[in-house]
Amino acid sequence: MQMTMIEALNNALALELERDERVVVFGEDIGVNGGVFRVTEHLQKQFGEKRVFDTPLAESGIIGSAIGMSIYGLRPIAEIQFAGFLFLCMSQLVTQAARMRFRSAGAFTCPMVVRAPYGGGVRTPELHSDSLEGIFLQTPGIKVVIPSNPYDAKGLLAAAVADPDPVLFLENIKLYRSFRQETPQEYYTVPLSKARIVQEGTDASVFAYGAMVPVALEAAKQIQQENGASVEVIDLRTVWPLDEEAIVASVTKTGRAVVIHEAPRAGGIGAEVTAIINERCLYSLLAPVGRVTGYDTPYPVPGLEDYYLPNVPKTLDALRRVME
Amino acid sequence: MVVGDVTTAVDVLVLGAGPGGYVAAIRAAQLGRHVTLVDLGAPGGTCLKRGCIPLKALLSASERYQQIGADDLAGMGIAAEAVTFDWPRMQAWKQGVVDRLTEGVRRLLSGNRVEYVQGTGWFINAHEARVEGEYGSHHFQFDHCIIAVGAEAAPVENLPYDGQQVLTPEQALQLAALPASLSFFGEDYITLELATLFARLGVSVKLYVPGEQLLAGVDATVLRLVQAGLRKLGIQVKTGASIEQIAERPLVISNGARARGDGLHLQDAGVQSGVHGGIQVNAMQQSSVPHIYAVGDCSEGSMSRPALASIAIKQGKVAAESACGQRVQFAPLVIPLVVHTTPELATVGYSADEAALAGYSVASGRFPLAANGRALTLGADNGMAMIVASAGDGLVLGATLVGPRAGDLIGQAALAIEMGATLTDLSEILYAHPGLSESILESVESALGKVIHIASKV
Amino acid sequence: MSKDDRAGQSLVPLRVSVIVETHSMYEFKLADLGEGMNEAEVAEWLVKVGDTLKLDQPMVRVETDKALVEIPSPVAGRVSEIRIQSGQTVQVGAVLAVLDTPGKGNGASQTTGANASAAAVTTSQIVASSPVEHAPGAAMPTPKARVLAAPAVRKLAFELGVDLEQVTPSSPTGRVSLEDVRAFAESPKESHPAGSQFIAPEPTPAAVEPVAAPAATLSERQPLTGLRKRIAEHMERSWRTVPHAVAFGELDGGELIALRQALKPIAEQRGVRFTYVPLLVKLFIPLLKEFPIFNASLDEEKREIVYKRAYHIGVATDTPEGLLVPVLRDADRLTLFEVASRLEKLIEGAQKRTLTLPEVSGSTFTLNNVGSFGSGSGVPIINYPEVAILAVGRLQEKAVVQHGAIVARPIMPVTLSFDHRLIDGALAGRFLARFQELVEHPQQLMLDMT
Repeated sequence: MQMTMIEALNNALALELERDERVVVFGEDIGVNGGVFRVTEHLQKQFGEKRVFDTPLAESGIIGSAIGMSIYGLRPIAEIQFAGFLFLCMSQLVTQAARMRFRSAGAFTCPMVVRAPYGGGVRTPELHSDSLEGIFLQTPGIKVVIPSNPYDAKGLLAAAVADPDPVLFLENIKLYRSFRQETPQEYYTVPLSKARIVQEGTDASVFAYGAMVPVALEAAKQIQQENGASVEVIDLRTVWPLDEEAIVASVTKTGRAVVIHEAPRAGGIGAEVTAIINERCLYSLLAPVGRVTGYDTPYPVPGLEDYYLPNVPKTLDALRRVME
Repeated sequence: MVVGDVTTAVDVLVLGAGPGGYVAAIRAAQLGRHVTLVDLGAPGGTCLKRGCIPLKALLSASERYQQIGADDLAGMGIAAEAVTFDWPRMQAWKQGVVDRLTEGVRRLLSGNRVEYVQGTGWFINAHEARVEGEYGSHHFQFDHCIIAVGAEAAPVENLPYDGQQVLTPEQALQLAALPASLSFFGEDYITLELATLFARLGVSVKLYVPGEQLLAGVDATVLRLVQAGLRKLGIQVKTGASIEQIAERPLVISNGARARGDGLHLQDAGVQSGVHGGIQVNAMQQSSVPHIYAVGDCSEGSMSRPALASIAIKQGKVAAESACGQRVQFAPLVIPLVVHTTPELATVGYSADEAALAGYSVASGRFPLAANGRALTLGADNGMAMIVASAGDGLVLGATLVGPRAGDLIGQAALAIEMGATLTDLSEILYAHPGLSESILESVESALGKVIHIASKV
Repeated sequence: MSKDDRAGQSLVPLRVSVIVETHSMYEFKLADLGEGMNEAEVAEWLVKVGDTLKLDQPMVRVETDKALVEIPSPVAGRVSEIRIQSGQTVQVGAVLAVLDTPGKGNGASQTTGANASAAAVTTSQIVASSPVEHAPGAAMPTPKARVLAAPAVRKLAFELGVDLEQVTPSSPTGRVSLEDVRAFAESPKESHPAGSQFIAPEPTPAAVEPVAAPAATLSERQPLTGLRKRIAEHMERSWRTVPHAVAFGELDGGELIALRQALKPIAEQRGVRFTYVPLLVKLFIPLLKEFPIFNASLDEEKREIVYKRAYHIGVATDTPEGLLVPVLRDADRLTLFEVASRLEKLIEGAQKRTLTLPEVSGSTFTLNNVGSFGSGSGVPIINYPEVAILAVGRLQEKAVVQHGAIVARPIMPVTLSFDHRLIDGALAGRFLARFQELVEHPQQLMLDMT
């Protein structure tokens, strides 16, 4: 069935609520109103207030409750209304959820999922488009998953719920409704920490995730028309832990790499991928790894967004440079 | 969407939820597409909310009132005293009918999973549109778009509509209080129906007709019956009038409709307009941009057509099916036209004059309702049936009915013409007796020279 | 009888047949011409409106793909109406003319006298009473004959891209049915361009055509009709379907000339012209027997090669109206003299356009004697559905080198066009080589003479 990402996520949540009575879904405006993006639409009506409910406007409370619930046997799926609001519950996430297993040597664990929309190109006010995955790279104990299409979104969410440790599930706002894809209606999972080769190639590897995957594909197509270059595009899907094998295999094959992400440059996924390549397949490299990223500034106002975000021309530039 | 500007992909975006739009939306949904329907208000369009339905409702109510007061009832032995009407209650009843229909359409739309967005939309380019709604702005990326925004009353130079002294037909229908007198300028079916409606309720009505004839193209004998009906209601008719000379107020002007489209930014989508200001379309309702369609009053095909809801409905289906890949076209042979005066008038196909102009040698027949049993039992025998056919092969080319339920009976003739029936075909089948349809039969037999219920001259 | 009263339908007998006159109308329709022909062009009317005809009197000449056929009148009577003018093409079953004949007609449309005059009166009254606005000088338009088709049929026709006016209704009432439309959409279109005649949707409104003065005649137009049209269609088909490849050869005609010189006077004594053509035709026979692929056809639908066991040699002939190919049937069984004799008759018949269908069809291999027009050589187009054609050019003295010395020899250029799907260059070369050998030593024919 053709679904948008919203519909796929809604479907995934409904399946989780149905198959496991320990699953609960909560967050701001997600119950009665079905969520500001309608990801949780109709779920409260279907599963009742005890399973799907609205919370007060308190991110720390939301995550704190989730931690408690998960330690004591529930499988909470908490929603933070926008990823930029994660800052308000950092303490809960980083000092508690991420460390629970470590601290208790496995006696207590937090099988919880935190969902949050992120991403630019949609003209939002401050803090609604921020990309935070880089920060969680340095927070061992939390996995970070970012799907780029409805099929992956549904399968990755199912895998995240099944995972015994905390997973941060970031959903790109621009991709929410921008296209439909054939998605099965039954339950299935897409494995975490496994990248996907969207398009095979031999001359360069482009690593992307979220809304940058379509950008990478378009740039790959254009450069092939320009000079016949065959570009491999890899959708990382899980940005922490990264699928190192996929990265190494691809760069060993092509010898050139470019990483694209919306998040700021310093200390981002691009930096991490470059370091991995450096450690494991430096001698396959024919050129320095290129990074196409947001600038090292706070996320800009809507009027400047288009200058800030990586786009096809910037990606083409980077590709040309690594292929010189 | 509360925050931000998220693009939503949609298969079929329909602009306008009148009969053209909502029907197109439902058909596209039936064919499996994801449909979003945009309208400024509740679904229904001009037809349901401001035009056809309110007008027909008030006509029915006023007709009942008038019939109770008429002489025929006394003749049947029925005495009615002190029959009154309350205009605000009548308006409320009319609104109740409108609301019920609107609610029905709303249920149909949600049952077919059509996404309804209240707001105004316009094109950003040939594939994207923005809709400004009550909850914020929507950005749509569509595969196909069907424009069904309708039309509004054409303005008259130096005579702006104010809803009190100078009114459009829609405004006339919404009058909160009945004026003592009302003048009308126009010559189309809307003018005649409005004049009839108000005259029945005791308003002193003057009808100013711009041309020499009340309904263009209708047979003269038929027109005389209609005109007699108007006179019987006390309506004063003046032909050859020019609007500047009319001093009376309030004045209702029915000057034709002008396609809406100003706010759509059609040029940004590359959609071209035609000579009359409507969106230019081909027989498959496609505009100059193949995946953008237009239907109904806002569109303009290669042949000019009256602005009718029946056309919008069919065109809506054609556009939806076309957008879903089917090869279909809007190509009816004939379009039935109905005027709800007393007596009621309905016509379809050629009149005898038009058929002769088209080169046919014409065979025609007519039959007065005074000789039809059912009409007599209805106490409404003022009328006639007329049939026009090709003399050589008897092919039925047109029919005109005057009398009760003419608008409901004309469908038989429309079907006959579309199926290519001949006079013999029509004369061979059985008609329920006593029935108004028999007048059609008798007009056919008159054309064949063998009518039973007209005495031949001795 | 009014056309409303259709004969043959079982209806409740309520109607009264009104026969006003003792005459009835006979509709003369184009009959089936055989050989799968379903259309013909009216070439020439031999009668005009008002003429009185006897039974079997020649009435009209029609032209099919293959032949000119004269059709006699099936009844005696008077010509009342000629519906199809010469130059027009019609389908089998179309009405060509209407004859007024004593006795029973065949139900042609005719209003009764009374109705006809009443209708006429009505029409003229209507026209007189309302001054009608026509373009000045324009004639009253004739109503476009409407195709009788129910709405569902019209919808299907549009969907399948079928022009309803092209569909022949199977019902006697003239109504086109769904089956008629489907059958038309699926039929192979030999005579009509495939499905290209549906009413294409036009985004722009039809422009009003201004009445223009005839443009200055820098060019003149003439429609393709008759034989020319058929030749054009045949050539188009052959060129479009068959990948032509060409092999050239130059033959020494010395021996051929000598043989002809010897036989010519004897043949003329027996009353027959003797050119090189009969010799060439007979020389083809052993050639075609040794190379059977050249006497074959490709069944394009079944993708099978059809090897023919009969040898019908077509001889391309120029006539005043264009190229015709009369056929020498079973040329392998004819003697040289019989070939010459038959050929003479065929050519005469071609010039006069009196050849019958079997005489101009069914060839398995064709010879094109371009030399007879004075042409040196040429590249011929294969006579579809054959697989090869040989053009033989003019015998001419040319300088050739033999044993190191330049000598003057009579040289005959030949051009073999062949279907490269079935015949490769090497085989074509061998074919020409063998032909050369036969032509340069023609007496060897005698070895196989029975």
